[in-house]
Amino acid sequence: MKEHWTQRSIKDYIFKIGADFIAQLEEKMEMEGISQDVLANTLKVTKSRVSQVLNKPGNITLQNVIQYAEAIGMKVSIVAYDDDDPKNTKGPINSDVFKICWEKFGKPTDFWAFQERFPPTQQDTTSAQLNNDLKETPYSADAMDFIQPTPTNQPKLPIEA
Amino acid sequence: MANTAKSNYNLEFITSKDHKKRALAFFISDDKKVNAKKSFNNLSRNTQNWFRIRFEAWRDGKINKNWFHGWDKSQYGGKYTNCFVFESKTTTDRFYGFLHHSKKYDLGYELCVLINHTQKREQKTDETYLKRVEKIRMVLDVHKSIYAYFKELI
Repeated sequence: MKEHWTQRSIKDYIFKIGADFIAQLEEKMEMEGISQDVLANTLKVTKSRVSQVLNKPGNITLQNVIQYAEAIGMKVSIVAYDDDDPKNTKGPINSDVFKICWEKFGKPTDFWAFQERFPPTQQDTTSAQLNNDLKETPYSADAMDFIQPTPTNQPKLPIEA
Repeated sequence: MANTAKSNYNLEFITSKDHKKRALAFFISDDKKVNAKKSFNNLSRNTQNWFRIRFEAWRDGKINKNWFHGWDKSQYGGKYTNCFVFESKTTTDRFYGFLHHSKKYDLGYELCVLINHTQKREQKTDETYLKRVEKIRMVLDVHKSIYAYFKELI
């Protein structure tokens, strides 16, 4: 399998995930009618500085990421994941995919939200086991099924002794 | 990346052709007007990366008309509904090509074949590039060459 271009250097990898982040920012800015001028004013930097950050994702820092997201009313998480592609032959998954999944899932804010949706069948409350539960759940992987599971498929609550 | 010994046309895949929905490839030909691959290689790494992100975004099913788009039946009398363009974010570079259903038993599969690179000077699309792409798209041997990569017979 041919090497993915983000595998050439860390700088290229940063470019890719930085560009995905910037695309999220720009889509939100377009949706909310926030211009680069407004963003620059909010951040108390020049418009050319904003343009530089938005056009050079290879140079983006975590500080920029947090500040720019906050300036347009968004928050940031860093997500590590295993997509069975340890050599990165396919490239990183677009961050919007994770965002859309989270939104389709009902925007859970903590692990309780998962447990309400997928009650543990044993005393398996560690996140690793919770992940296994999600993998083994009888639900379809389709995001809509997560939102509206059929009651007959719902796992039973554990019975306390 | 030779296709067949007889073919004058070849593809160089930018993304894997084994993707379930879409792939992109540069069209390789002796025709000097076919310059996408050569021009891409001459772009700065920054501009190349921007294009790679847009190529992969299209492959992954993202919708963003500022990044890439085609032309519908209401434009140019419907002559270029198979043509497609990718636009740079930071420069006036454009890559023109056409969409091709390369798997006869999977009509949902699309290959974007990139033909030309240009620097866009005006807001309006220069029809010359669309004509050039369409002219190549109409050549039977071009289709044969593409299908050969997917082991499809024309």
